[in-house]
Amino acid sequence: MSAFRPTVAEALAGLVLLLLLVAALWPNLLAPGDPLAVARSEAFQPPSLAHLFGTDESGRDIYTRVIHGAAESLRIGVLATAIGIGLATVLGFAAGLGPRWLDFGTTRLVEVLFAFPGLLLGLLFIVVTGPGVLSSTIAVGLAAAPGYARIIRSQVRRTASAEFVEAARVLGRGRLWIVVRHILPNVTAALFVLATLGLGQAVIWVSSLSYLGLGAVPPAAEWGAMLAAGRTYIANFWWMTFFPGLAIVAGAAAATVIGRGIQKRNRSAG
Amino acid sequence: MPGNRRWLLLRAGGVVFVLWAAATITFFALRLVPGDPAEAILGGPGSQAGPEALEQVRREYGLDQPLVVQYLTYLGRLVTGDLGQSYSLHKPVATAIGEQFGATLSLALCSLVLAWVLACALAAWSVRGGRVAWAIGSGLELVAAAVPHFWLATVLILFFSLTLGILPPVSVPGPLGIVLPALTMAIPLAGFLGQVMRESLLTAMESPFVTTARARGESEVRIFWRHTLRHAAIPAVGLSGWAFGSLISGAVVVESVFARQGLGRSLLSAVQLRDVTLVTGIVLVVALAYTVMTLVTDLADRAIDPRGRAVTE
Amino acid sequence: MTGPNQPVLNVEDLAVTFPERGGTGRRVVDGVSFQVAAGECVAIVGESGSGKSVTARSIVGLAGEGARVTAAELTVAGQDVLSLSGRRLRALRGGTVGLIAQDALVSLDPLRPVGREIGDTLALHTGLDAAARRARTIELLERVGLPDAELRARQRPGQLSGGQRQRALIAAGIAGEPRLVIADEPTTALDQPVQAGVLRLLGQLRDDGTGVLLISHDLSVVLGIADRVLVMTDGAVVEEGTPAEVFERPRHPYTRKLVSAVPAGVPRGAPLSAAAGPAGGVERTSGRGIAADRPTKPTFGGAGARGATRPTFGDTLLEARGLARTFQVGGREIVAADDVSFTLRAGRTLGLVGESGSGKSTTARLLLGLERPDAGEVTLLGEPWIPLPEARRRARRPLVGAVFQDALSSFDPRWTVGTVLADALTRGRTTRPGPVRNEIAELLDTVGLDPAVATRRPLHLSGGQRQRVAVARALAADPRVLILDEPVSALDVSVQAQVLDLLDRLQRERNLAYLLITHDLGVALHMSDDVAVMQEGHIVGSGPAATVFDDPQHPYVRLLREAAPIAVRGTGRD
Repeated sequence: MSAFRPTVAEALAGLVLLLLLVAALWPNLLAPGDPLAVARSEAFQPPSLAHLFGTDESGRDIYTRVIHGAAESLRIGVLATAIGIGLATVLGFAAGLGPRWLDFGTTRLVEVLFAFPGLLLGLLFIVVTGPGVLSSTIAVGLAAAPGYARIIRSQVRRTASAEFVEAARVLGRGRLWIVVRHILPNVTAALFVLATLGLGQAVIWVSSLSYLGLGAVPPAAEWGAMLAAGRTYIANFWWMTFFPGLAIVAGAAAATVIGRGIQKRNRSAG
Repeated sequence: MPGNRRWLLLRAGGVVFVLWAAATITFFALRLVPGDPAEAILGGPGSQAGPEALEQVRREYGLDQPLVVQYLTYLGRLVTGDLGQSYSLHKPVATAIGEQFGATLSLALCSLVLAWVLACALAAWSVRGGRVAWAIGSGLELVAAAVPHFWLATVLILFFSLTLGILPPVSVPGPLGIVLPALTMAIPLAGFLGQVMRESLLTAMESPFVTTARARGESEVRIFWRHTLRHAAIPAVGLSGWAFGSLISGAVVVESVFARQGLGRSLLSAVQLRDVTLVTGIVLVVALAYTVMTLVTDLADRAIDPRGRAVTE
Repeated sequence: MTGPNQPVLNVEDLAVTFPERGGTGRRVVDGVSFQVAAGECVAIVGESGSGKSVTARSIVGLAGEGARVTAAELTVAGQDVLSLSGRRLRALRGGTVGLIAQDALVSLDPLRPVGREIGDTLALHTGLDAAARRARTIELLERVGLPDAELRARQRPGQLSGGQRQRALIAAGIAGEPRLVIADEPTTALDQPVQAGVLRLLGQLRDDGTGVLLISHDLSVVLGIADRVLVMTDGAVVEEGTPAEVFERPRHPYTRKLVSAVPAGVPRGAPLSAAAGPAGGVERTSGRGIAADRPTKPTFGGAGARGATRPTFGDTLLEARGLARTFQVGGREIVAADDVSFTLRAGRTLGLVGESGSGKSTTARLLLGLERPDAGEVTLLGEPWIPLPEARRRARRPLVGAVFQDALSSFDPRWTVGTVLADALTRGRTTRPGPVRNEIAELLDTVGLDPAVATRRPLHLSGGQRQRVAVARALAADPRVLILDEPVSALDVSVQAQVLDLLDRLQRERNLAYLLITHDLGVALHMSDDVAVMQEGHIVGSGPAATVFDDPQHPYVRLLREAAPIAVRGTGRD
């Protein structure tokens, strides 16, 4: 069907995501070397054929590290998104389908959480639990949840008041039946889009926390941590920060393109 | 208008409620820190605070009193503007925030304005330039929105400071020092605003009222500035409250990268040192600023799009 | 200066082609020629996709992006439109030619006061200064019959009623004192009394010497005002003549079909679509046509009626007594229904007519249990139906079916037609079409659709097909009563005729009781045995369809009747 023919940007984005997925699952396929192999004699090599992205202060190959870092960065990003969406789904459905008082309570709660914009909720969480990979992941998920919850609630409400739901009521369908057969499937499609769009942002924020020293720490091959390590040498050895950053940008942009592509098709399909 | 006053009153009540709830959450978050709360206030188990210091904190914060009393005392102090004492800075939190607030606010506002200018300029250019310009415009926005602050800062420093040498790599006092940090925060935000605007721009351009405007002999340029831009801006203006929040988060990163003073950098070091009093103080002040900002956004929204007002009246 | 004999608009052999991927392009207008003289009203009538709107828009160079427009001649007041520069073309738009689009709610910028829109036209095409423009704006609004012009000029489209908006749009269209006014479906979104007012206004313009080109899908709308009528289909003009010629002695088969499809004045029970040959040709891709005299089919296989026996003609099935519902909107009370009572009988139709906002749809929602009444009750087959807890009503819900105006949004976008019908046939036990494949095919055949439709999604069907699927869904549960809420108002006339014929046939076969809600008097009179007129939540007149309008007991009923297009009063009148 022509409706599902991808645009050039979508094809490109799909390719990037596929590469990242392969890098995350079978990194040795793309970069057979050891990401932690130290070679002092080869420190600070600029990009060349031998070292596509150059080497770092310990002579480790940056290309290999970027490829092997995909798993860690993506895992953290996916986990953070899952936490955010999971929490938001509970809140959103409770508010969207529950009785009035529940909707009122949940909506106020989300409103209050909204008053801690962006990372603030996450930072509040980190100060309670202390820094680390896990707490930075949860922190990013927590920070994203209120926004998702608001979207899911309105999606649930819109579907619940749709004319086809009224048509089902006229046919004599019960409440539970309508939720399972109509509302859940229609909202799930939107959830999927939300997750794809959110993944890119989650990767950015998690790597930001690593960069600030609140998440993964060097010499882990996580992208944000790599950037933090390269920070000291930025004046002379630009490739140390440039390429890990490029991986983040490419991943986040690709996720956005794909997410919006699905969104557009969902919308035109009804 | 009575409708307007009622609306404002309701909104103001909402602001007070949100602030109260935010304060309550931070209060209990403080109690959630594992171990002795007195120790937490002094920087956690690693702080090795002496018994006298702990005793003093307990007395000062009334930690020996029942929780309800503590909570009420805490609220009472907040109302008078007392946010507690920062152990890492050795001064009252309110004073510390007062010193830093201006720098961050000016940075955030500069970035917000810059982001709007960038987004509108790009939209105006790509509307006139046909299909290719449209594709370039949306591509630029996409990449801009996907760029992490810390990396963009690095790239900008690399280019403007180290290669061209026209701007300082670390923040110096004066207007020149704010250029790179503001640009760093504005570019991703412009990407977001642009994406939202572009979508609604497309809808607006296909609306029948544009046909009407063409049929009355308006030129495309005038149609953009008089009709479609305004429609496109509505959802983006609605996002400005959210944008302000993301700018504060951005400030945490950007102020650190550029070694610029401000709330964000204080917040980061407070988190790193686990200065709980300072963190909660900053978080509360930002929550206040954010809530006020949302109120302002809503007012702006009502000015641009009077339709919503007609419904509530 | 052009003399009275020289046309304001001269179109000779106009063709418009839209580019298509991998082809020579789609030709939507082909060889259209006509003239409009000063002080003349020419109407182009056609259904959606006939090319009438593209023809109109080509005249001001707004056929659409990528459109290729060619013509032997396309001149407005002596100017060759196709060779005009961008700047001259803009001077032509709004200055020499005024365009009035349909639905002013979206055709006027919803964020700006209507006065500003009129002022913009004045600024572009007159040399008036700001103060003079303001004065002229008020003058124009008064000229199009808007009371309180000063106030209206400051209001936005959303704050005006439909009729006021349309008048403001006309004021904006004529502000540049154009020689030619193109009105593209100017009355489509309006209630009939308001429609009449707008048409009168266009008639005035014509009498003042402006050339008027009126585009409409509704033959009956143009009858009272047009001097000449052009009938378009598939991009070509197939018939041209005076309204009387076209309406009473149509020569082309398509025109004949169109004319006979107009329900107004056609007696109850007489088919609207059969006159032009088998209706199946339009909607069906294969299989048998719809035969009006097909034998009655009592029930469907396993999923038919349970318990309740089939009623005989004239039995009372549903009785509403004193229904009332008030809504609170922004501190104000809006009475949507007050003391609404009526009876629905087997094999008979009650037509419920009234303007938009008169409470018709609320009444339907009350009957369907989608809205709780403040007072009153409804009985179904002699037993209580409303008010009743939903759980106790649910078992008998299949007895009352519904068909809504917007069929598309009444289907889950993720479901195929087969899923929809399987669900309806099995009462929600399964949504897999497999086990009930035969019943689905039978059901689709009943409503005149090919069984292959079952695999498709409603989004990919035509409007008429969608409405047939909606009817099939309502029938699947074997109902006794159908609530039809504006079931044909979104459809083209010829498709509307087919759906109305289908509903009529089903009623006779199954002795169904109908409540037909419509804003269209012609449809109501053709379909109904009894008619009730609603205004502001009250039934202000009711009785047998034949007499209620002849003997008006309420001023509103008279107003509605006077405003209705001429055809409603009977074609034999002149």
